[in-house]
Amino acid sequence: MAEQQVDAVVIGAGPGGYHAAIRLAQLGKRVVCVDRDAVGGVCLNWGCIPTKALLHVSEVARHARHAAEIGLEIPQVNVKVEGVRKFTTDVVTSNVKGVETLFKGNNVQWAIGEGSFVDKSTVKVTKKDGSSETYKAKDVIIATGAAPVDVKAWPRDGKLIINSDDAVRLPSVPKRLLVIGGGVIGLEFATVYNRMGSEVLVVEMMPNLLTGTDLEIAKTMARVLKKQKIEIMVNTKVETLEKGAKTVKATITGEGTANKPETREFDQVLVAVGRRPMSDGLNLESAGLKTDEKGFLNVDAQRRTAVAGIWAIGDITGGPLLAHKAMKEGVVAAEAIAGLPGVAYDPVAVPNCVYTDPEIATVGLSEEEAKAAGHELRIGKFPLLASGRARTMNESDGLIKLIGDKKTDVLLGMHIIAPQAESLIGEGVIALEMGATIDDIGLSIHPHPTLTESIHDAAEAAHGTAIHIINPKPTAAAAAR
Amino acid sequence: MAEVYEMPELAESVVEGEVLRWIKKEGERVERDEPFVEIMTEKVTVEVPAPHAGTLIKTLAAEGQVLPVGAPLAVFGEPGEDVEAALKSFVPHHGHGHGAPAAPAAPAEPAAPGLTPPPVQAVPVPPNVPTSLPSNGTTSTPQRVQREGRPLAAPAVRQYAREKGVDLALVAGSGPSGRIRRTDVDQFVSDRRGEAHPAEAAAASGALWRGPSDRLEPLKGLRRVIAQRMPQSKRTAAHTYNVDEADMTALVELRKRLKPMAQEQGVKLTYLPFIIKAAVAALKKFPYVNASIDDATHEIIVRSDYNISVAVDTEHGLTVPVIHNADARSVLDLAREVTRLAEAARANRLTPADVQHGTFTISNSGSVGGLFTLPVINLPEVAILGVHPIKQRAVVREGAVVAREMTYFSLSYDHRLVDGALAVRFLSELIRLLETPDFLLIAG
Ligand SMILES: Cc1cc2nc3c(=O)[nH]c(=O)nc-3n(C[C@H](O)[C@H](O)[C@H](O)COP(=O)(O)OP(=O)(O)OC[C@H]3O[C@@H](n4cnc5c(N)ncnc54)[C@H](O)[C@@H]3O)c2cc1C
Repeated sequence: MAEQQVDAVVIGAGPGGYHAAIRLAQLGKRVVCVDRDAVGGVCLNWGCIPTKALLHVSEVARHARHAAEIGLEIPQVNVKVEGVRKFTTDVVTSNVKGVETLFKGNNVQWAIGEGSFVDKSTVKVTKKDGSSETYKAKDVIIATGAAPVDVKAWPRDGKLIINSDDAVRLPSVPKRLLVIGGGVIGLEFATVYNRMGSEVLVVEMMPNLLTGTDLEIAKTMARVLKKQKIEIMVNTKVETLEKGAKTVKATITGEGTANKPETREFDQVLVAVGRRPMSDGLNLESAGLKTDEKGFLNVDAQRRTAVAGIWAIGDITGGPLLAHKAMKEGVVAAEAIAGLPGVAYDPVAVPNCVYTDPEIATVGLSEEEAKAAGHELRIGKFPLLASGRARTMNESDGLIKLIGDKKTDVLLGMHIIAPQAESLIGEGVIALEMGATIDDIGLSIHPHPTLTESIHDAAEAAHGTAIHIINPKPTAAAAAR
Repeated sequence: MAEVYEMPELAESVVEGEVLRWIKKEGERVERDEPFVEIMTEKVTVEVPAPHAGTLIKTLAAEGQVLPVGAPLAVFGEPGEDVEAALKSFVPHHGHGHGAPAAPAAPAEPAAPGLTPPPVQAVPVPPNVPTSLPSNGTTSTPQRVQREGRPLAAPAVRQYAREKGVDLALVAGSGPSGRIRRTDVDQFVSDRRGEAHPAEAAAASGALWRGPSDRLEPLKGLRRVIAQRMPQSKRTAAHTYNVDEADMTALVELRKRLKPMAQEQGVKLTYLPFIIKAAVAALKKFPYVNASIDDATHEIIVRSDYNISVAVDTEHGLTVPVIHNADARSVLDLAREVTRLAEAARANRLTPADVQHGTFTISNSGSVGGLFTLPVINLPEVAILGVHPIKQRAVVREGAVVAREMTYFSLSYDHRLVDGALAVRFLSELIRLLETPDFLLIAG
């Protein structure tokens, strides 16, 4: 059995793992990155990238369907599942190739196989053919991510009952789709399938979609989705699923069914009820490491675990399960290992995007959180209906909402429902990190005509000085300026 | 439930402590009162006992790191317990201020919930707060700046602060809405250093020249404290000096007679106890030499206690334990206390009580040799006596050159409070008492 001494081993080549490995290599460390699957992890292969490719395809389909409204004649939109699949796979493949090239260019060694701890500084990699090799290193980074939560009673079969891992490969476009779970993943797939032509029902147990999101934003989005003919039931539970030959009968009860059990038939059911940390097979006990009761690894600001020399990053550490968080943590851990001074994971806020139609992007505190934190609030809102740019795009659904502290005017949160919200939110991230006030945003010139000027308008609205909407009543601040 | 242990206030008016050594490592069990960490403050080094039995599940500072009193230091509990949760709910008990207006006890993490604070605030930035000397008010004690919500600083400024070991909670921001700029961090760092002296500024910018075979040692522990306090004293007190000679012949004879008697009682009798006695008597006569200036309140504190600090040379550097109530002690008693404190100092066993509330210092370091030295005043005291070797020297007595047992005494005094004439009178009185030790019996 081959044994090799390196400076660091990274288990998992997802966004967290590949960032850590590349930065370690850049800092002169001999590093080996282990993954049982392709490089890029969930993000490139099963998550962010393939879903966004599917969302793009379905968005083009939607535009085509609405083309007549803007004077274009596009006779018929036909979804060719094969072609969509090929596009998605090509996108994934070229991204994966990109990371492989970066590994090569940075001299990151790449080991394919199942990683497990022999002891705290020894990792065994078992390949598919049963052979294995062993790596010894002073530092080991765990970046093994998360996996879909399976519901025991509804075993995934990849055809009738599927999870996100199946859905990204687009097994088919069902006529009737049931999505269990109104979180990010559920809503993104609801959007994909709806725009591809499926009838979609989303069932959510909690009182609102996207639990934890600013309530006004979540409710506004629910209305927008309903307008698009996505059926939504909140405070509602799927009780049973009964599989037939070609369809599944679901018994649903709750607010959405007037609290009476209702049985409906679907061609496919997507279970999207959450993700669980992935430490299967890692053999953490041999390293003297334990997860918390939910299966996450606790880490400090430099991403050290309780065992010296073992670090953890990304979804396995909990917090928001997001690729960009994993990336930042990967860089922090690598730099801390290399002994760079002052390294810490200390974001003011982590932005969060949901690729519905239009998209949602938020950063910082929701109105409810800001209130709970004891702030007196200053809120500025701007409906997209009043945006010239949105009108030129034949869009009108959306809302920009800024939340600030009334006393200091410091921005606490930015919430956007708008086309390309995911790109617009960058302004909010920088503003929060820099400690900007709402006035800073309102006093900065934004380009016209754009969607970003709606952020500017919302900032002015917060002070009662917006031009493009009728302000509720002139405030003292407005009078003074 | 995991419990956060904070940097204790090991001695009065101590605002920070340096982690010298983790006696217990993470994951080790400790019994109640078993020492688990060695902490050095500007006054003493203490092996801190565990608050109760349990496991040291997390250490929150590296060896050599300085933490303010009240900062999270370690987490105790049972293995596997949630360190994160414990730190999140941690509220410090110790304020940082003494004599300064009390800041409201701010929660450990001022960021508003929901702004995704880093999951664990463990291994916090070493908030190298300024070293302030005991309650003389010459430097302000560090305090959290009062503000709404978190300290506002751009990511690059936060990174810079971490590199400089600065806790932004303590830094006032000069930008709009109190935003902290890079220059505010620089200002804080130079305030911490006292003021930016050219040499220090050069050292801070890393501009000092280093030869290829020079040896680099970390400036830490007692050496670090001395390096901070000496220039601080020099900058604060208006150092002025007076040196005089003394004929110790009578004292030499007296000590010779008393030495065997002391020995019978197991006491090693040196000259120091006599000098302490004489100093106390002289201080009683000239109270301003036994005093302090409180800059913060513009008050002169005239001491009613006679607590004589004695400089002791140890392998780690100079420490200054205190003989409390020296005025109430006999010569033998003083001798015993001097021996006890010197031994404790050399063994690193001084207690917080042993080093606080000094009112006047005697420095014996000149006794190694030389003619005389001019020691640095031990703030917040206003004078320090230098004691030197006794040697036979040729002097003139009644027209004839004779050999006498001679020595020099030096007095470094703070001219802000002690004028030259007073200093000279004080030293003359001390010498008068020592030259005719009989007076010691009736003095005071
Ligand atoms: C459908 C979907 C859509 C998403 N969309 C977005 C989005 O738009 N934006 C966003 O920010 N986030 C999105 N996410 C979340 C994002 O994918 C994750 O947050 C991110 O991938 C986490 O990165 P990571 O490095 O922690 O781990 P992962 O990406 O999960 O990678 C972990 C890697 O470790 C490997 N591994 C695990 N255990 C072992 C072992 N024992 N031995 C060897 N290898 C092992 C796995 O094979 C995997 O490749 C989405 C997730 C899903 C499921």
